[in-house]
Amino acid sequence: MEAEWAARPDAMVNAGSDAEREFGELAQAASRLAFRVAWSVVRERGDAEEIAQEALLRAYRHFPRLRDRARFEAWLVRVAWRLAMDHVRAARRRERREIETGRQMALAATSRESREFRFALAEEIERLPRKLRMVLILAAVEGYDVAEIARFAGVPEGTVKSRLFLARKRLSERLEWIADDTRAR
Amino acid sequence: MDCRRYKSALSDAAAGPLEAEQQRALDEHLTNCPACAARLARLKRAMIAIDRALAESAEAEPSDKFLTSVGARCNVPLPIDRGLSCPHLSARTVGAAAAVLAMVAGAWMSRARLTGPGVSPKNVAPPFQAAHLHAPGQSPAEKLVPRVLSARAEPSFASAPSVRRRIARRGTVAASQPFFERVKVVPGEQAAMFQLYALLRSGKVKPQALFPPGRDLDKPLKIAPLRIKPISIPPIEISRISNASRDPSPDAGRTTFPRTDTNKETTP
Repeated sequence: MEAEWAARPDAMVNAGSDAEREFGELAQAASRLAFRVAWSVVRERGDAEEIAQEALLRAYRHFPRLRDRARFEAWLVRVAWRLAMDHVRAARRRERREIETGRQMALAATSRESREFRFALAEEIERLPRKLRMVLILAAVEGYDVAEIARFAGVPEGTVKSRLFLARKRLSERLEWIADDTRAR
Repeated sequence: MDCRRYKSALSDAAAGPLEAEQQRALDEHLTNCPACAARLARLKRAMIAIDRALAESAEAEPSDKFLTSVGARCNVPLPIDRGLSCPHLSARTVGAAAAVLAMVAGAWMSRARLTGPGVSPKNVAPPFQAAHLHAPGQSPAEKLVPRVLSARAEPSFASAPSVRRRIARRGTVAASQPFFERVKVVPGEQAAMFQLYALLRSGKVKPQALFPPGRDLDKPLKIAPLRIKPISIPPIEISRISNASRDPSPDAGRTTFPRTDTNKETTP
């Protein structure tokens, strides 16, 4: 996944243009954010690091087309989130095939439920409108405060608060089933 | 009993506190409706599980290898670190650096205004010219600041995104920050400005250190990246008029020098 970046270890260091210098500074500051966004979906450090690297690589490739550099973080979050969702969906499809063909041992019930919940949570976050999703990820995953998110998103703080509230409300409605003790197992 | 009326209020209550009147109405309903009370309990449990799962992500840490790897690839030396005799200076560059320093100076100015009620921005002394900056033992950065800033020349803010956005949104530079118009780079002092910028970026000088003693800032100041855009130099043609008369071919008497700039964007 990181082949292109790894194959060009000096790509950033010897970069000559202003855009590349600027990207270097922004990417270094946001690398941990990309990792955490990926981790929130895949829950595995190695995979999350690969996804974060891929997100940074994609951001690097498309950076010249990004007009508003002040929103780099929000943009990187979207890229990392999308890659992580693709990764986890592919893993689930693979897992289902293996179960169907009898190649995988059944997981313990608690482990299975936990994974189901985490995947369902990621899917429900994915279903949120983009504006709500961005605010939720920045607030919950990276711990940005309302003022910082308002700056990233270019909206008033009150809007960030209401979006955060709406996002959490919708998630609780859609994932109410996880707290239902009587649901069929 | 009309439970549908309270459907939305139940999820609101799970996601956060309700207004007093709404909460009272809901409590009243819940005392008589075990089904809604059970649903509220489910929603709250789900909310706790969701918040817990999200909070785990905030604590996840990448490996040192990952951070080192990204850091090594992104650790681009600033052009300023390669020396101050950079040939690619332009008005835009100066404007960008001026905006950086304006951020620092602006906070100082906003504080300065607080010291004198009724003092209009026009009457405020130019920043960094306070007596303590000229006192013996001042730091190199403090010596540079008065050279860099003055209240005369007009900088360009075209390359400062935050300023550009503010102008786009409000139609003009924010009235709450009149200091932007007062912090200028003196023509001919760009080198001093870059020295100051390099000191700030290198961390050898904290932005707060430039402020008058005893004035604590609410938030740490951030030094924005300085963008230096190479200027594009058009081809230079030298007509050898004296030799042209000797050679009848139209191009024989002209020597064309190729472009000497390295700007990828402008070079075809």
